[in-house]
Amino acid sequence: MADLTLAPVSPLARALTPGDVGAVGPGGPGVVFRDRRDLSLVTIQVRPDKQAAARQALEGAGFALPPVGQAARSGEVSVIWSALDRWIAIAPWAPGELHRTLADPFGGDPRARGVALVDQSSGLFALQVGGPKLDALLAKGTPVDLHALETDRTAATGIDHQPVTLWRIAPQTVLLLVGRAFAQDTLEFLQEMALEYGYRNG
Amino acid sequence: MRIPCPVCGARPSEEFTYRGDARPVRPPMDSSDQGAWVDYLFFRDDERGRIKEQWQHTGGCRAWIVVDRDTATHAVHGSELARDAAEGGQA
Amino acid sequence: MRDLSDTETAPRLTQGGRIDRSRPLTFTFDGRTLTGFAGDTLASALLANGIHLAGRSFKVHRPRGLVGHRENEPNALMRLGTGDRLTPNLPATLVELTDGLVAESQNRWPSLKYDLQAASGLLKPMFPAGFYYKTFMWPAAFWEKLYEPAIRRAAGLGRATTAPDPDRYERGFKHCDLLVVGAGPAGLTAALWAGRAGLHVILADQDSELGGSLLTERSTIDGEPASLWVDRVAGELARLDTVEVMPRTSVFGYYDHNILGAVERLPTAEHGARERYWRIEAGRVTLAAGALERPIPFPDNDRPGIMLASAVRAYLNRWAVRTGTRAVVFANNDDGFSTARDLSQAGIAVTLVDSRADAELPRALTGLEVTLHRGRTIVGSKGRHRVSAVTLDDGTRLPCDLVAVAGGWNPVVNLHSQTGARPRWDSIRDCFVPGQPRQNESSVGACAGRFTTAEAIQDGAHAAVEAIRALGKPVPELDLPVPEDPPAGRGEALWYVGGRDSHTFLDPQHDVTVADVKLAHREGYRSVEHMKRYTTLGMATDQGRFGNVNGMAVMAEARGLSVAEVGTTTFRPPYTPVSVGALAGRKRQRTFMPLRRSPLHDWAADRGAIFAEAGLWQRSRAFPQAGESLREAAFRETTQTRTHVGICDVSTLGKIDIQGPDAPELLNRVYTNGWKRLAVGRARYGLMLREDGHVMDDGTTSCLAEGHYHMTTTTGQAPKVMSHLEWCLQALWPELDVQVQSVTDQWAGLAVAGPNSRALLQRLLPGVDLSNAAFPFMGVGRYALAGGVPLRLFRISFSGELAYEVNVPADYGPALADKLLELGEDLGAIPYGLEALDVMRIEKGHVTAGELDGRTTAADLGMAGLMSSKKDFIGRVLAQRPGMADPSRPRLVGLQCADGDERIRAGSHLLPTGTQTTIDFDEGWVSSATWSPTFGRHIALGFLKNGGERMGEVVRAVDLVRGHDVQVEVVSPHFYDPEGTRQRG
Repeated sequence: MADLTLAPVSPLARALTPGDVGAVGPGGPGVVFRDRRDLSLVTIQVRPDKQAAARQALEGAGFALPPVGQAARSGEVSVIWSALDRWIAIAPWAPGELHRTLADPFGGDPRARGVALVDQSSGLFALQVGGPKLDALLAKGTPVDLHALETDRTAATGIDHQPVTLWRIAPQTVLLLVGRAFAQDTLEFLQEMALEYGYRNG
Repeated sequence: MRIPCPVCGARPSEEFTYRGDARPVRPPMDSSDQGAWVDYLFFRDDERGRIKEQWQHTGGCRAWIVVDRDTATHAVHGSELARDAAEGGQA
Repeated sequence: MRDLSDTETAPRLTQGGRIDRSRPLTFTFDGRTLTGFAGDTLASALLANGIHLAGRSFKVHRPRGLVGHRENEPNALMRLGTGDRLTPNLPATLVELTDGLVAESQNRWPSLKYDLQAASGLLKPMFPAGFYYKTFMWPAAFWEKLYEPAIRRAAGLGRATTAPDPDRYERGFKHCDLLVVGAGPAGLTAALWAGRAGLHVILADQDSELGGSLLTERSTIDGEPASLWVDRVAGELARLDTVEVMPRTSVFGYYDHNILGAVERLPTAEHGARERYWRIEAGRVTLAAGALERPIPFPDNDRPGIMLASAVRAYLNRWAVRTGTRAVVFANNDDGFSTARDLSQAGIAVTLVDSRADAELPRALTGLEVTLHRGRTIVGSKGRHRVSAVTLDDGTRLPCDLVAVAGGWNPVVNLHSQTGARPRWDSIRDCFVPGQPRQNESSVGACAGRFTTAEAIQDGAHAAVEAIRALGKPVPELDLPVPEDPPAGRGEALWYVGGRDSHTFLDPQHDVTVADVKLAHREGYRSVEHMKRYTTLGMATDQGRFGNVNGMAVMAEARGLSVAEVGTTTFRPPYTPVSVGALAGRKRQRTFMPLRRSPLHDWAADRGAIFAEAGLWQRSRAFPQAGESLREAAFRETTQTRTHVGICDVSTLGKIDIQGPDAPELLNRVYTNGWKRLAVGRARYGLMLREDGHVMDDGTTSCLAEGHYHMTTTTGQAPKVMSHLEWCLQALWPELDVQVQSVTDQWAGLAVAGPNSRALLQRLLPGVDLSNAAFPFMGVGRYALAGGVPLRLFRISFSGELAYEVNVPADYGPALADKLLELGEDLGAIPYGLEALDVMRIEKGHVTAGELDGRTTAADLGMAGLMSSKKDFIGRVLAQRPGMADPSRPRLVGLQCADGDERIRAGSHLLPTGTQTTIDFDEGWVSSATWSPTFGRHIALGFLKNGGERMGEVVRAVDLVRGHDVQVEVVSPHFYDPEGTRQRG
């Protein structure tokens, strides 16, 4: 019988080739880009009148449904706010496993509880951007006030006019979620803007 | 212009998509009154001054919102989610 | 008087100023190699080389010299750079001198000194006020053939390059609690105290150095030279974390809601951009942009060597340049005294002409060799390329090579005015000052008409305190420095010196004179806005910063009104010129628009695909083999798919995940047809209308599970449909328990079409029963491939063949496509592109963007049967309007060549045979057309009046643009397998 396994391909397979580019000084690159396709992403969308109950159910299972603009971490699973009535659960697991784990607190039938779970592990691309020049770089693309985007805050906004979710995971690191079809374009934009600081694809 | 998204806070208007005047009320379901539909869809007062407008935060949280804006000065006096406005207003 | 040595007469002083004599810089001007120093502007370096003559005027080509040192310089416009890097029309006063800079003067031929067009001032009579308006009224042919070419040669400013700009530009966003525009004493003080209180402060100044007027005047603060205070404050600001100092940054626009536009000029760096456009959102704005000195226009006031007094002092004090050796200072206020003092101390002989009859030399000037002519004005000047003498109204003739004119000050109210606020006339200080603010801003210091350094520092501190208080932060105890200002007595209003008005220039760049303004008045153009457009006063690149207020005063006098009553023109962005490159940023050529890539983009590129733009997407059109044209490839792909099997990337179709118990109700409301009885595992075609009853979009929606649906949309309408559903759920029917989310990017989609498609998919899914009975047309299934990769299978057909659509998570798309080609090699599997897809759907009579053009109704498309009468749906009522329901509307028809094999072109109009080719006989149009490899002839889809009743009739398809007129036969749009046995088989 034929081998029927399929190998996944990153949307940045050709744009994120390892190496240093631009004005990298002795102090190292100003910005580092990392493909975080090791993370699975499942959106949790909850009807407004069911959010309190959903929060309770998730908390019972050790997860959280954080307020607007915030992220909450519990073990390997982080749940970040991403849009109106919508959160994204992020974990270094297989998508199906994350999906099942999130469905469990809703008795395996989230739809009956006003909750929609949707796997977006391929639909959203997770790009990690870090380095001392992170904020200077982001300011060239996003209109949000980066002073207010503190660690574990999230924002639904745009980079170079493409819709993105920004999650600051550390003072000098963000996880940027962008629609897969725009991933390469967004990366190329950020790479060009990072030339003056020097960047590393890693 | 900065538009205060009730969810995300103030953002530049470039993140939003404009729909139009929020005041015309959609005829109820199953209404077949053609005149009412024509009024709802096509007739606008185009006023100078404060009006309510529908915008969607397409470059952000995707919420449909109703913005209280002055067409003469561009001053924005507030905003709310369209679904809240629907509950309070037209239903 | 003793003879002076060379050092004493050379323009550049041997000491003093803020230039760095240890860093000489070489530059060229009109081909001459010259030297300046770090810290120079192009203007100061030219003057240091003894060059005053810097340009020719716009209309009459009179020789013009440098008059200012800031953004009000009207004359010294330069073209900078070489090759592709050419920037025209830059005022030399705003250009920082760099090593190797190449500058050229403009608007002269053949050379600056010998401009032939200036001979005897030939041109002036050609250009009176209102010239453009009057000229446009001449016969058009006259204008085009004779005058315009002549004027274009004679007039006009610098020429830009036509080559693409090789430099990079960037855009960005900044946010701050307080934006301070201008880094003079007021701005520095505001930024310092706000910064000390922890506010996020941006301090922007167009200059390369902080300090503003403190750099150009001999003032002291706390008993020390002011420049020491500037250096100390700059040092502290650099150390404050929350303060961002932005030199070389021009804040040029003030927009709604305290959003400001600024351009930052960046030092050339290998990886950097040349300019960066910043969009600044500021909680508060402090406008500390200072004031610009204005002239006292007098007859023949446009000769090189006649300058503004503030510029003469600035060149002397900041750049250590003597702009002359024998000076006449002409003033209507006390600035004449400080100018005389500074010049005299630099060893320049000074005669002071003060228009005030009661002027008295202050004590500061005692002991200096300054002659005073009080109560006098200048009424004329002499000199060819440089002023050589002036004549006073009492007939006195004063030889000189420099005239420094001090006519008072105009606060820079431009940004304030851009907010929509109205500057008001201050009749005590004789200038426009800021009026009632319309936004969260205040003007301070000279920018508010408070001209002393002491007032500037007080105002700056006050602005900081206001900003600190507004944020509820503790206000620090202020400890303000004490400046010493020269005593400033009141000046008198002197707007121009009468006499020869046609030689008294208000706007030297556009050659607008006092006579022009008076002519405008006589001809009825009396409002300042009319006068401006009629005379072009203030429409040059300096935007009236030089002489506008004087011009308004001339008009006020002519009308017998005060300047306050005449008012000022409206200021609009940009305050200073902004390069288009900076505004465009990265948005040009390939990066003009973002590019959406299908998960199979690289896969297709590797297989030689030719791409086409579809909105932001790039879609593969065809996969030509060696030696094949695009058309040949498309027709081969069509035939191979119809006889064997083809796979096509359809990932770009919109996909929307719909979940919730009320999902069928939502579908029922947004689609025209019924959805309540769609079973799990089944798909259905749906038609969506706008509220106005026209077709918005179509697609299939599948029921994946109880309360879980998968909607597809056309590629182009996907974002619109998504917003539409969100609108329905958030604004119209929030009570519906449904959630929607775009999953377009999550799933790679492959159409697998052709008679061998079932056999091919059976090999991919060996354990699944794909027989027609088990998996019929419009069936839907969900499976898992090896490793748990989910796969969705839809038995839908766009081609009319037995066909499926396969979805896998996008990351697996390329591997799936490879696998299908590999598994199907012996079945004849090939990839096909958009062109073959289009050919096949036209053959089948399926509609797409060409037919769903936003003007067609369901009935027009032959889908009236999909309009349910049993339920309400969006667009139902307005689709029944008489004009929409008219049975004679153009209806979808098929068209084929009546005889022969002539091409039918999409976009052609349909007309009956035997009529004139006029719009009166227009009966419809061709929406899509192709050559059909299946039928071996040209076919098309189109809309024809009463189309359904005209089968077999021959009409004309006329394309006047491309010169086509073919006879076509009206047929059913379903050319291929009209019974649908293939797709259902």
